Amino acid sequence: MAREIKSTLELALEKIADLPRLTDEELRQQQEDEYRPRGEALATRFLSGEVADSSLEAELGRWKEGAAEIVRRSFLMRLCRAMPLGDEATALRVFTAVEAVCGGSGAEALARYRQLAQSFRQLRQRERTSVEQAERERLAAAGISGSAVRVDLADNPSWLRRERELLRELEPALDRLKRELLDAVLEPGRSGEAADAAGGRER
Amino acid sequence: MRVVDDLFAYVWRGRDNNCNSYVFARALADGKHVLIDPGHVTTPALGEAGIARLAESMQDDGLDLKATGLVLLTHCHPDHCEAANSVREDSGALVAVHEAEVDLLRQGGCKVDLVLVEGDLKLGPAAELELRILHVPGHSPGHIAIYWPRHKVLIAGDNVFFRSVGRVDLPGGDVRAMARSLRRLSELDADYVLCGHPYGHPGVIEGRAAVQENFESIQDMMGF
Repeated sequence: MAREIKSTLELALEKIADLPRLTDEELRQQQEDEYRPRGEALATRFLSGEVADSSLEAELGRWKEGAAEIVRRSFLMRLCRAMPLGDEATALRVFTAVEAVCGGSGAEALARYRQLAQSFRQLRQRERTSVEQAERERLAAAGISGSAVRVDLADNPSWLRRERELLRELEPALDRLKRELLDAVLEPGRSGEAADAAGGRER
Repeated sequence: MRVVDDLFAYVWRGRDNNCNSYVFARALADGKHVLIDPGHVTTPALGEAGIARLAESMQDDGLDLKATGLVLLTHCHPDHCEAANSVREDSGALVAVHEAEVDLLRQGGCKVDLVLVEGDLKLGPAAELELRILHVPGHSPGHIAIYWPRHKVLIAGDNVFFRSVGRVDLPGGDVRAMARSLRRLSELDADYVLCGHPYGHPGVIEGRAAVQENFESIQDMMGF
């Protein structure tokens, strides 16, 4: 009996033909897994200043069709998740990017964020003044005073604890805002993912 | 060695490089001391005990290093500030440095409790010991000198030595700033100049004539 001789290519094609085909959902997930880290990495580089504001459009424009949407979405999600209250410079970077990528779609949430950040600043300053005053009184009682002395709170345990407490107090409001911002900037139907992102849960 | 009143000088007597330290004894509440420039923990080249030797010398004067309440640093070079953190941890003392060197000190792993700027420093429960903090850059950007008007004492750090001045070729050094600072210090009414190191002399210059002669000698050398 004659035996059929097959080329390597033919053997490979036969094996591939036996593999089960990916469903549309699996294909979508595969693409998501491939491109989501790229959007997140871009956000990290943008926040660190490695990617300039002026380069953002070009960086996001490198991707085609479905990939572009995944990169854009994961970029925005990572940005919103990184939005802090106590770090104005980072917050400003986030605003800049959201406005550049989404136009005015997050304007309302951004305005409210600014209000919240301002409240935090005011509360923080009030608390800081109060802790400084207490430290000055403690210093005077210890026998240290005068115009040459300034209290430095950067290593002060009381202040560091109070600052952490303040951030914790405002955290729920910040999380709500992040969710609203994401709902506004992502397309309809993505709000579940937005909620995940705002809560900081990795999928 | 008592200089005047309750101000003590601890002149470094080792072979390796380390600074002189000075103590305002019992200047704070609860009899706590103010220590200026604790120096090295251990000297880098020869491994000589620095802070332990200072503790022993203080003990000879009946002073306990662990009763220190405030450490003032004239500047943040390791031969002046390395032991600050260990004194802070052992005694609970606060550490103070000029604002221009806060980051430098933190980078070296030392906590900073107080930031100093040019102005008055009052010590004691009734603020009875009045000192003047002078910002005198040149050897380093945030170098301070401490002037005690009541007894006309100038604690000069590494700006003024016996017939010599501090280096300006180290990072942050500035020869023009040094000249300005020296001119300023030379104009103070001083009967004592306490130097940052015992180079060629213990570094405790006593008497108005000796102080003036020292500044004149430096002036000739520096041309300020």
